[in-house]
Amino acid sequence: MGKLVAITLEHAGDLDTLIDPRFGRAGVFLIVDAETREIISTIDNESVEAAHGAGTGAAATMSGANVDAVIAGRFGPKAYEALSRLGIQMWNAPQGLTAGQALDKMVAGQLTQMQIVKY
Amino acid sequence: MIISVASGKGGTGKTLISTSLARLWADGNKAVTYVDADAEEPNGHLFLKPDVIEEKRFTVKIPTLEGRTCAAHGKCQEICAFNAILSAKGSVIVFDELCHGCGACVLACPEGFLQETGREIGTITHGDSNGLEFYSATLDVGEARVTPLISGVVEASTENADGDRLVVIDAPPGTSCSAMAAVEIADLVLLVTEPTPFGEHDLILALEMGKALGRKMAAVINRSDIGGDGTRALLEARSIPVLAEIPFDRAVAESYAASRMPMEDSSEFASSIVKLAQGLLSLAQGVSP
Repeated sequence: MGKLVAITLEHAGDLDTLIDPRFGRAGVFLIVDAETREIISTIDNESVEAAHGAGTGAAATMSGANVDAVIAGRFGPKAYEALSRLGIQMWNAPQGLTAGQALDKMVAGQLTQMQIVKY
Repeated sequence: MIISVASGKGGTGKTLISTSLARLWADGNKAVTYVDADAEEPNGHLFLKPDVIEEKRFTVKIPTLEGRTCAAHGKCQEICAFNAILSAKGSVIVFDELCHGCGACVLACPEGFLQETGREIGTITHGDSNGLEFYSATLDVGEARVTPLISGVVEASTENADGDRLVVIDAPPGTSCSAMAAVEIADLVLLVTEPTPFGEHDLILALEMGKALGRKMAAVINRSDIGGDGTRALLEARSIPVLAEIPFDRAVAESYAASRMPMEDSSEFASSIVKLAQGLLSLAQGVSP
C-alpha cells in the first residue's frame, strides 16, 4: 500500500469531484491510496460547523485517519501548526482541480508542499 | 446589592454613568465598590484615579503532560468541545487560545497523565479612590479570550461584599460571553442607551440578554435630546423603567475628555445622576430583602 492521502472535497464524491479549497471547513475528506488511486474511505468533516478550532478539529480527524498527507487549497494557521506537529504533509492545490488531477500533480511533484515547521 | 451597568452598543456612556454613580454614593458615605469589567479596554481608572493597593496576575488553567509520554488513547481529543487538544504519537498538542480551561481532558485521560497548569492572561488591580473600593481587570495584549478574566474580577470584587455594599460593575459592551460574565451576578442591570437607531437596535439585544439571564432591568437614556423616540417606545413596550434621561451637554463632554468627573463641571448632569441613583436605590428595595 502506498502513501495515504486526504483530499478535501466540498461534498461526497470521487476522484472526478472538485477539491474544496478550504481545509478546516472542507465538506468531506476523500482518503486515497496515492499509489493505486484506490479510494479507501470518505470521511465527513465534523468540524465544518465548529465556531472555533475547525482547523485543529480537522487535523485531529486526519490524525485519526492515519493519513500521511493532505491536499487542500489552503490551510489556516492553527491547522498548519497542528498538521506540522502531527507530521502530516500539506500540499496546496490550485482551485478548480478535481481530486484525481490534484493527486496526480502531487505524485508528479507539481504541487507546492508547505514546509513543516518544528514547534 | 450588585448593579451591572451594561449596554448593547459601545460608547453609550457606561463608564461615565458607573463612575459617576460610584463616586456619588461613596461621597455620600455609602460602602461602594466600582468594578471595571471592560477588561479589553478598561478606562474607569482615568476618572476615579485610584491608589493601587495590589496588582495580581490572573491565570487560566490549561492541560499539560509535563513531558511525559502517553499511550495516545485520544480520549482528551475526543472529549474536548473546542478542538483545543490533539493527541499525537505519545504526546498532546494544546492550543492555548482555544482552551476554555474546563478540565474535561484531565478527567478523560485514562492514564491520569494530564495535569492542569496556569497560564497568565491578564491583571486584576485592586485600589482605593477616596474611600471607594476600586477593582479593574486588564487583558494582556494578544490574548483572545477575555471572559475568564472578567469572571475573575467580578468574583474578586464581590466575594467579601456584604449585602449593604453597593457594587457597581462597569460591563463590557455587547451581549456576548464577556458581557454576560459581568451581568449574570447582578441584582439589577442598568442599561445605558441612546435614542438613535443604533442604540435602539443594540438595546433590543441587551434586553434579550437580560431576559435570558433572568435579571431585573432598568434603563437610563443618555444624550436624550438627539435622535428619535424609538428607544423610549421600546422600553415602554417592554415595561423597563427609565430612571433618568440625560441630555447632551458640551460641558460633560469636555470634562470627561479631560478625565475629570463631569458631576463637578455640570450641575445639570450632577442632578441627573442624583435622580438616577435615587431611582436605583428605590428599585433595589424591591430587589434585595
